[in-house]
Amino acid sequence: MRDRLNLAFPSLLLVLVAAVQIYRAHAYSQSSWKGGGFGMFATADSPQARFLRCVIVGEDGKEYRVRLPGRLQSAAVKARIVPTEENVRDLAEDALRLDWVREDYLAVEPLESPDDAGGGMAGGEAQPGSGPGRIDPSSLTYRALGKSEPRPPKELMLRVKKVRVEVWRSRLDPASMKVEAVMLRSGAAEE
Amino acid sequence: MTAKERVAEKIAAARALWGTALDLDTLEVAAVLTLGLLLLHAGSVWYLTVPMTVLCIAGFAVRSLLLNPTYWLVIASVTAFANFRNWYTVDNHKFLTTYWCIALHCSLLARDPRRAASLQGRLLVGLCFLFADIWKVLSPDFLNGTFFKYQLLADGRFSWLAKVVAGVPSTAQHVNSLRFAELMAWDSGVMSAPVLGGSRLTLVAQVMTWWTIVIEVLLAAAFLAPWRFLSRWRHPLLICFALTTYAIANVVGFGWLLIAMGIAHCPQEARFTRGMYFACFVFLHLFLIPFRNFGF
Repeated sequence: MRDRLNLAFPSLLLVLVAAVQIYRAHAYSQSSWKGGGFGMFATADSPQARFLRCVIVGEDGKEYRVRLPGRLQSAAVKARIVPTEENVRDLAEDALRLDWVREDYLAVEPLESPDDAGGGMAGGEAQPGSGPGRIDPSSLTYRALGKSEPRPPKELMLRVKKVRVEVWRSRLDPASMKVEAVMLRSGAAEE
Repeated sequence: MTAKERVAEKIAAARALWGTALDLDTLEVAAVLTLGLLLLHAGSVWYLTVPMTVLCIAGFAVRSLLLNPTYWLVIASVTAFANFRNWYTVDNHKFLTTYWCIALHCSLLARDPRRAASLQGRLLVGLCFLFADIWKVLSPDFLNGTFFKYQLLADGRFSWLAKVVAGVPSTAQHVNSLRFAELMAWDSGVMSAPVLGGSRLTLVAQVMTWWTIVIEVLLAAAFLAPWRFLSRWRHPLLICFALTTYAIANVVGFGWLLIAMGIAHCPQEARFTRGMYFACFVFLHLFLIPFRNFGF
């Protein structure tokens, strides 16, 4: 009996984890590529095909699209791979706690301080050693103030009332040969 | 001694070494391969790499550790802890590696460790492919070929195949990468962007889709079903899968693990099959050479 249990244990563990992963992928939009369910190379909805869009709202109600800093990488990756309401809201709350400064503010310290260059892996997160990676540099926005950066004058800071985080995935429409953005979850945190 | 005789002597020595390798104990070979995998491809977090390096070097240095159940329990605990800490970011084969280490521990506690490890290897390979099949059937974008179409256009690992086989021109690939960047940029409001295909994109995507489905279903059936007419195809199918899959999307860690489990399932007298696994292991690493850099 003990021998049989020994032999069955690793396989049972595999089945249990994979079954839970299949359930979670369908219940919480978890990416099938992760979580031990062997769903890699089964769908284009991989972690790399998912991205975040983050919007901060000032006191005057004006909205700004911002990039999440590297120090929120762990929460950002979690929200992207497992976009539950709780994970997305937690990320928005973390972003709300940050200080946001005009992106053209240049401190004496380098703009990409070590804690901001953490290396996010997808759109919406900081890229290691790269520039801001913007596609629309015409509109001025805000960036998270680095931990070691000196505090800028008040007029350069934005008092953020609300942060909205959206988790998206890219999808190919084979008929029209267009890649489309499909929203998986949106969550917000307010002051 | 002439140069010709020296070459003949070297060839004879290589043959003798190859023969010795084929005669090694199957379970020990599987254990050594697993240790090599853990040493080089376990992961990058310090709480995994530091203890794993010490444990693997100890395993290579002290042969008796290879077949010690407690040793494998310690290794399994370290990998399980790292998986638990990084549950949603580690790849699936890291989970499979942990199950395999647990399987080695459990097998070494059994009355006949070689038979037990053979069964464990068979079950883990079979179940891994069974769940891979389940996911492919459950995913709406796999069976209609959209998945491979998307990967051929978006995934850098497939860019060589997209260009040479599917006929997606380099300029189209460059445009596509800009379109994906535009869609996924943090300050983007873009909701859709057209991408450029190739003359044989749909055909190649369909062939890849059905090849993947067929070989993975056959693998799951061959490794899990008890029927002899299927079971005799286990090793050829697994070797064929490794050679065709990892030549395109090379995940060395996964291929290495499948080879280790395949060898564990290999009977001691099946020298030719073990030789094929060794050759497959070499090819797995040859596939890492970036042939595209040579202009092919």
